[in-house]
Amino acid sequence: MSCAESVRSSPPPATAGLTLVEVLMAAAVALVIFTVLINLLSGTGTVQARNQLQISVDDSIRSSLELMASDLRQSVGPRVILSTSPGLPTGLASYASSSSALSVVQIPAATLLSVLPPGGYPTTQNFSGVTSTALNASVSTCGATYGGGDYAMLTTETSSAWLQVDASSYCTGGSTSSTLKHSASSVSYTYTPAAVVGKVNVLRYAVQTVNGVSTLTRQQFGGPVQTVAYDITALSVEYSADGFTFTATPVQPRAIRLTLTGSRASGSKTSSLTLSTTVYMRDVQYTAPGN
Amino acid sequence: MKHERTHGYILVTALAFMVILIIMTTIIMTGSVTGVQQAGGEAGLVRARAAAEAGQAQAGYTLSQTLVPGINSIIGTYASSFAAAGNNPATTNVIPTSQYSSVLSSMNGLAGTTSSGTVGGVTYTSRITFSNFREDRASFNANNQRYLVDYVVASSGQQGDYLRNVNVQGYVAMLLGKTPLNAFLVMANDGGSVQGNFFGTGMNYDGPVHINQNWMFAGTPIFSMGATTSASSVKMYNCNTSTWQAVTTQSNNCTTPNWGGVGLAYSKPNVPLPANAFSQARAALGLDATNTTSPNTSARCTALGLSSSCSSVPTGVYTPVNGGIYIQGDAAVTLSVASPNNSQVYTIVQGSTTSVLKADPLTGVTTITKNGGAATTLSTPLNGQLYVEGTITSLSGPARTGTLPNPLPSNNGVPTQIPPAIATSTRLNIAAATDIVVQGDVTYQDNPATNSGAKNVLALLAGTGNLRVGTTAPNDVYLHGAVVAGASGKGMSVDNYSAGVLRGAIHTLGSLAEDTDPPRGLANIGSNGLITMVNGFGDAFHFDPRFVNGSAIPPFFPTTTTFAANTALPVQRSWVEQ
Repeated sequence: MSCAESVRSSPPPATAGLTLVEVLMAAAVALVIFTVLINLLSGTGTVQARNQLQISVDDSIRSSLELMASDLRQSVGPRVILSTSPGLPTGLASYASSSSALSVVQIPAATLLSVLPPGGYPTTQNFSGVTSTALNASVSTCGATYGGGDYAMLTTETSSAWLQVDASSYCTGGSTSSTLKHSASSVSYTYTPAAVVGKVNVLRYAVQTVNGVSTLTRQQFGGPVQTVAYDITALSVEYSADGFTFTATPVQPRAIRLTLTGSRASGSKTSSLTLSTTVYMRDVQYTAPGN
Repeated sequence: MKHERTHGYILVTALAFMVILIIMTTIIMTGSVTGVQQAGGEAGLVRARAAAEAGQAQAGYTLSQTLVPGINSIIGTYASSFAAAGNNPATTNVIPTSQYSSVLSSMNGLAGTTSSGTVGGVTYTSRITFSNFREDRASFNANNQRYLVDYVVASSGQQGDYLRNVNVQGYVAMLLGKTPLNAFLVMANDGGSVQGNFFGTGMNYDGPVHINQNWMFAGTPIFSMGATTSASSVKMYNCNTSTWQAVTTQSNNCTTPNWGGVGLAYSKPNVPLPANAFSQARAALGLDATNTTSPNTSARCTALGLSSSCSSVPTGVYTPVNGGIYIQGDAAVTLSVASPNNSQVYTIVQGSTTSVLKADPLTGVTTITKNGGAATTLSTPLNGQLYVEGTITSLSGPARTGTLPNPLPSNNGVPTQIPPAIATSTRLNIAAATDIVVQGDVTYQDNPATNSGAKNVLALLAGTGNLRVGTTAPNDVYLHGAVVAGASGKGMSVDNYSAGVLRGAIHTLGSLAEDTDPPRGLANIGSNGLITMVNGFGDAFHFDPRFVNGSAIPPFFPTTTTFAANTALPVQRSWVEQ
């Protein structure tokens, strides 16, 4: 009888607990593992912060390049201001492009106004010493398109010429036609009905210091300096007349290679990046002056 | 005794480890996703802009490649009225100024002014809008007028949320010129019905055909591109009454022409055969070809290097400076192609004198030999005009190298047994003061029916005479080129057409402009309307596809008085993207 009971109530083996040594060892190992993990986490955070910094620089440079490329794709005539452009108005001379600054020439389509046949046409097609141009636009359109002292470009099928609109009383005429006066710009050209006058917009890109920060700026001629992106430390412009040979000397381009360098700091971290893009001019037949 | 907890420690460790890993992954992913989003946004914009540019390119294709037919469909009425009024194109607008707004409206409704499509999964839509139609008054002269119109192309590309617009602006310069006579496969002032000539079964025309008056049909001739006439009626054979009946319909009884689904158009504007716009004699002499007066003896002698006081030009072959080949007297002319460089060879026989000219297109050097003597080199290249002051008694290419296959090649092919006569780069006008008698095959080296880039082109102009297919011409003769026989009552005829055996067909590839279409064969008309050719040749006339828009015009080739747009060249002035 007791024998049977003794078998049923025998105590469990004494193996379920941990010794103090075992607990200490486990704690030590866990400490090591957690230390490694915390270091990894800290390193990742540092990398992430550096990545964010680089991404912001990358973003600034990419968006800046896209803006410059977009402006260049819309350029016409000489495409960029060249100091050697024949007849370049003196007021635009300071806007000449260089290896570190770019001045893009645009003529908005909305400002293109047809030139009416000059007196004597078609008997005579060659006209010289022209200081006022008849336009196929009302005087109000002329006035809305041009302002005193604006720059413009007259182009025919074979040639172009720079114009500077008179400072005052520059648009006269009526409801169907008008005359644009450019007394300081005497031009000679061969008239065809394809002749148009368009208002010249010059957009200049350069790296300047703004609020103590090295900045890529964009300035429309006569307008305020706009900030394109902060922390842009260098702009390099290379010009190609043939589309594959580039030089730092400005020429009437078929393609332009733009290189921007940016550098941004955050705390003790600094991220620098240099990106380039090549912009090929769109097929626009708006002859450059002198060509 | 209590049990100790010994297994939760590992679980806590694992959970902590996982939390840390998730934090690290999140941090890394955040940076990566930002970068990917940045790149994705940029790529989306680039793709949208590319699609917008594709739409702009599509519009550019419309402007440069398909505008000419559209313009001609719009200005045709004005051009016809202008020709009918006999106005002077040097002083009067072909397109009246008062119609400019109407022309503009029609141009804005032309097919192709709107387009849409997909490029790499990105959709685009584009639209062309025309404005400011105007003339270039200084361009007006006896042969041309130029008009300009401004255009704007607005094109959008969109992929999802990314939208880019490209707007371009420019002008199109349209040059109107007199329609060359080779714009028709067959163009005749008179269909010859008064003389009993009719167009019947076995006659096949795959280009535009226009006959001003007197046109008669029997059986089932085939006009693949339809036909037009200036007359208000034509005659068609009626088998029941065995008579020719004047009709204004597309068929009559047993006469059922195949109009190619296009039809026969009545009462269309008269297309006059004009006075020659060039003097081919002057062209060959190296004189001003636009002066259409006949050069007098003194002028000819001077141009040929003879004494200006000579009383007549001696029979012979001449190659005046800056001119072509001038032949005084009747001559037999054989054309062939030889090495090197696919040189054009002219073999000219006059009596016992044989002159051989060989023009190398690569070097520009032309040599001439007479009766096998020493070759001399011409000082200037030939200008493309060969003129015979007399009759070309025999015109042919090289002799055939064997019997022609049966059946003959389809699709305007030329049997290989016929060697080419006109070299790849030859553009030649052969004119005779009187008749040209074709006594052999004359074919291009590059067949324009199968080679759209073919440059070789030939014109045959019979001055006061006919273009005759001679009695020694082979059966199924092949003749490539633009033929003109515009003198009153003259045309493309066949010698002894009503005698001898049936000779197959005249296989032309080009065009025919003539005053009166003569019979080229004799046929019986059965009581059931069945046409049976018994003598002479049938017509197997094929149109040179290059002649549709005047892209291949032989030198010094005559034109009609009707103006049409020959070219429309777009010039792009601005490019804006948004």
